[in-house]
Amino acid sequence: MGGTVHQRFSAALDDLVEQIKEDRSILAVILCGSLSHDTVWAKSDIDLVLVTIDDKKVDPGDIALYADGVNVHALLMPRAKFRATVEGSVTNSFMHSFLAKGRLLYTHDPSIAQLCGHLSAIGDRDTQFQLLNAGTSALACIHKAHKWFVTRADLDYTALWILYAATPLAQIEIISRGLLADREVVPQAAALNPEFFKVIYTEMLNAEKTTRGVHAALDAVDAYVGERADLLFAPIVEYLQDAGEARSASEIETYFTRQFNISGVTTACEYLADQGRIGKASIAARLTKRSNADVQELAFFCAGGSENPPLR
Amino acid sequence: MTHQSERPAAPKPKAKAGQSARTTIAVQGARVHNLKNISLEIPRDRLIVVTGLSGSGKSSLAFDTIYAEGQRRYMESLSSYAKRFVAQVAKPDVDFVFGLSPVISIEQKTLTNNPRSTVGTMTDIASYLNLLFATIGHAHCPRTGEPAPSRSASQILEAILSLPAGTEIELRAPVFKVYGEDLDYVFTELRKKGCRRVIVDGTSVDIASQLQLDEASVQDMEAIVDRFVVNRKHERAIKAGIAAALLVGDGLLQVHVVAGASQAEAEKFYRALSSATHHFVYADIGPSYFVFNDPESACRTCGGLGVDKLTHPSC
Repeated sequence: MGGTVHQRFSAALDDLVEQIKEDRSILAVILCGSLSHDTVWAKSDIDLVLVTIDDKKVDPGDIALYADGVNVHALLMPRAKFRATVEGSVTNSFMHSFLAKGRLLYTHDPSIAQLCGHLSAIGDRDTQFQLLNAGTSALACIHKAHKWFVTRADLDYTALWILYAATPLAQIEIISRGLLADREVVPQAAALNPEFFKVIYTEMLNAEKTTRGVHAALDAVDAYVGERADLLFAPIVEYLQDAGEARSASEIETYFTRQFNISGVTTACEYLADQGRIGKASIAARLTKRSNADVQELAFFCAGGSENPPLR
Repeated sequence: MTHQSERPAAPKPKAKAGQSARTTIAVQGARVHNLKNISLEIPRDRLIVVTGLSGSGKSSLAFDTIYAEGQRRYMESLSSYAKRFVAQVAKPDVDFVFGLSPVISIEQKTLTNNPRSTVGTMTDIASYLNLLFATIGHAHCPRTGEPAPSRSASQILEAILSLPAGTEIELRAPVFKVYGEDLDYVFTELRKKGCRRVIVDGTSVDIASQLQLDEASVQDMEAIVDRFVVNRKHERAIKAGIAAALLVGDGLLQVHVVAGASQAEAEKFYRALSSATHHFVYADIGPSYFVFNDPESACRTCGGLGVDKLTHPSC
């Protein structure tokens, strides 16, 4: 059945590509999504990126095509935008992963083939920020899981928050190995680290929730993040070391959001402060531009530089 | 600078009608404010400084006599309809002033102490100078000072298309650290603009990776914006690439011949299009290049303030 569906999709794609080849405004066709690197089923669609000429009359956007009974989602992208996306996307971001796992079906422009060739290179600077992003996302969920376990002893809801954390934890597993993360990253990570993901994913999903089991999952998650904290949160420590003085939470948030599109970094700062890696302080702040009284805003600092103790 | 002190002696007008133009401005019998019926002659077309003790009548002479008389005469030349819209200036208490041209007065204002406010910005003269420089100025390579031509984007496109078909070219944009920026910030901004490869002092680096660069020793950087195989059928793509490179390079780009053209063809191309050493070409120089209050165009040392503070080594 799977082979039949795949053949039907492939045949529909071949016919469509032959039609598109006649279109002089399309420079290249890239197959993305399930048909390029995964298993398709009857309800799948075909994801295509169509690189168009750069012309005012050619509008970027997407269009739903219908080819021999198969839905095709075609993303029209002018060549200049395609180049900027390939070169500018942070490696392992959604767009980068989407394109990197794609397959160039044909092109009239050899430079597009060169650009696609660059997609497989994963930069370690980008990796660092993707790890920070995943680590920050995971911490927020882990924090909630702890709260529901401690305050209400609600095992189901605690397990749900652990399961929410499974996706960013899986991203950490994949990205830290220098691999490209799939959209379906949990099964990908579970195959690489079955022991850990059995405790925090499979058992939280399938097994009966017991206090001991949920506690073990929380411990496993804490240990997993703790072992990798130096790697995950290095950009924050470096930022505070460079600053050489306390930075308010809003300053830190603004910096990481503007520069790297990573929000919620305060959670990671709290974690680092709890671990004794950075210090916690307060800075006078005004609530509004018209405020006439100071309040104290949460702030963090890294006083010791490289002399700080390593994370536990 | 010339210092013209107040003199009691009456001046003698030198030029008569029909003869050569006056070389002085003659003031006789000025009695405005603190001026005690003074007469003097000031050279024209020179920079004149009026100095003296506080209350000695410097402003009364410059603003309330010479400027006021010049302004009054100009106002008299306007129609009565136009005069309705302009504030009237009282006739100064002076016997006569000879040799006046249309006048402009820039008054000293001490209300603000903003170092970015200058005579040029207050009077909008700076804007006109920027336009003048952009129109008639000769561009130079920012690294060597050699002449660097200015071409429109279309001219750059035509020059590229004149290369033999199949020639591989790279469009590069020079990158400069603006005052106070570090390389990490510069590279992050470049990624946002869609660049991943940068030539740092002749070596190609991937800025998606961690780089161990000595910030102080980095001299020249060029971002590789796009790469093409020259062919008429890729004209639109090359045109868009030029626009992208000019955006990254703030109006300055470098076309680098990678392969497919002989050494002689490449040299001929560079000679015709760009500066001698670094092969830079400017596109449509604009007035914004000369705004000292814009960090992009300001002096990299003083940031446009004209002052560079350094800690003395012995302190």
